[in-house]
Amino acid sequence: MKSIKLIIGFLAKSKSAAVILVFSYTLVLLIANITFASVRYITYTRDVFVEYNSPNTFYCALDYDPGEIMESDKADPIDEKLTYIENNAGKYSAYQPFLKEQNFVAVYDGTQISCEIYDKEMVQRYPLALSEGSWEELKIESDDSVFTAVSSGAQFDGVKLGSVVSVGVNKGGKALSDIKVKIVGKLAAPYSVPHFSVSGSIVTADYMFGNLDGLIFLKSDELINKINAQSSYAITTSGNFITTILPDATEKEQEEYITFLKNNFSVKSYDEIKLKSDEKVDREVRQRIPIPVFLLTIVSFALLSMSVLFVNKNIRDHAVYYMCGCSRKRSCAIVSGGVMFLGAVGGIINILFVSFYSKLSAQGILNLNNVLFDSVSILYTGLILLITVGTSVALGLIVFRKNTPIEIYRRVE
Amino acid sequence: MIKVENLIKTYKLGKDLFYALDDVSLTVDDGELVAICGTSGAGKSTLLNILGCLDKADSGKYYLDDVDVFSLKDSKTAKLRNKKIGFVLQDFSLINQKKVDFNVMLPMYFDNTPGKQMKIKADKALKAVGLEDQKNKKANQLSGGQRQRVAIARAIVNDPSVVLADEPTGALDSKTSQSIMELFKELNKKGITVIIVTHDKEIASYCNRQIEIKDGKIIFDSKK
Repeated sequence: MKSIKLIIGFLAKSKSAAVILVFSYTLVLLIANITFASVRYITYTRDVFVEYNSPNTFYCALDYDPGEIMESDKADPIDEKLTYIENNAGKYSAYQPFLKEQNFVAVYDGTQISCEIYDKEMVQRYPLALSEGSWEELKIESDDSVFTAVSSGAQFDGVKLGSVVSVGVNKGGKALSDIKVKIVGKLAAPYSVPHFSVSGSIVTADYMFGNLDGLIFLKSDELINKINAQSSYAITTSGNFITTILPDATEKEQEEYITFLKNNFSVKSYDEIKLKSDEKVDREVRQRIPIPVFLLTIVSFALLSMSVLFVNKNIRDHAVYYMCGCSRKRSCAIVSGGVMFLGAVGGIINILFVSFYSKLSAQGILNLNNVLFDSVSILYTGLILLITVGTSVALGLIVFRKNTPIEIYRRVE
Repeated sequence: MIKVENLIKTYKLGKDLFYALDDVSLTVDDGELVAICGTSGAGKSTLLNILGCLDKADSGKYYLDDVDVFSLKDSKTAKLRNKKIGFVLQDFSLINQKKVDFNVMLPMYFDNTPGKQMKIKADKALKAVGLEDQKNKKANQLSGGQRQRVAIARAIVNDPSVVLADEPTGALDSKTSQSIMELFKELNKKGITVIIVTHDKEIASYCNRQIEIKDGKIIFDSKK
């Protein structure tokens, strides 16, 4: 407590400068963290796309009239349409199943969550990293009406693996009706899952994924029936999906099938998506990284200069402390503490932000969309702190130790 | 008790070696009020700095209450300065933007005195110098004489065995200087050893013992 008071005294020599520097450093570090997280996300999705997809993969988008879909009295008109087209596609030798993405909204612990329903093939295609549990435990059959699911997002941080939770599905617009869910796995950051919501002339890998704060189920008739029993309109199927061409099919068969797909959908090939994704990564790195790096450099030099200024402002006081029985070692500790504080506040705020972002996002308090915050982000922040604050402390100490108390007294006399 | 033997302290001036202290030996018993006199550059402040563990001699021995000071590491000499020595300097050496009570409590920031006890001891020290009603003022709001009293309060707050004063009245008028010297005499009567460095004969006359230094050597000691 005493040393803390002396450290505050160290900084109080120029309060406004300290406040401005702390604020600037925190803000610049935050901007840098968010930018790096955004670029990392785009790189991550590109890498996941390349890792889990083969060159004979196609991303298909169904052309439909939204008005027609809204007015349809069917429960899931898009799924019906896709199923109809898929039945026709099955006649082609090069056909392989459409990997569709279905979702429904539920309520867990008073908060609205999204739930994805994937085919077994989708889960096998994208075995995303889990922080706990295993995809193997995700089963089609329920056990005593308890469905298995993999959780995603900070909502389920407090839930132990293997626990059974209740998830509410809206019952025809009225009271919620619960379904029992056993958590068999927890998705690792960035809690990003296949989410085919985007179509257009340019499709990049990051558009094929989306953040999920909720649950991932394996598709089964039992699950679909259970949810539909609660509400007929609960499940929505995306009009976009991925599919692969059978590699063993002949070139002619493959071409015929691709033509069929192009006649029914807007199609983007693996090569097109990869090319655009690579271009996007390059563009993002070139356009977005320089400014935060520049700002970080400026604020780091400001921190270096201010640390020297603060040391010079406090040198006389430390000569007095020395006279009152403060050892040089302790004086150095106070000086180091003061300089570290200037950078540490920003560092701690940023580390807390990165650590708690997923929780804040899960609760809808903060959502930056398509960012990757994980332990690597904390490591980067720590590294930046080590270099900038470490250098400032070192320089401050060098300046401090150049002057002995006796020399200062003589100067004063 | 303070005992120094054959102290030598030199400084390099270009190629030459300047002897600030040249084979100085001295003993100060407990309870003495000593004036160390001499002209500017005689070596008085150098001797005081060594006695106060602010500096080290190039050779010789220094015993403070039978402790060989030169053999101690920095942290141990810091403890000595904190517990056994009080300093009063010409420029007061206060933290000007801080309040009087903070300045007086300063030595206790570097020891194990608990927070409540710090305030009690500071109040006691301020009372001893007659400034108990000024504790909430900032040091730079006080007159020169008051600031020097605050410095004296700080010097005695940890009940040191010796108070070292380097030209304590150098920045004060004669009347204020008188009151400061009276204060030193009062402290000395309470058993604190006081060593004052001064070039002023009148100030030196307040002391029981006078030592004169010239060119780094003791040329006169009224005790002998």
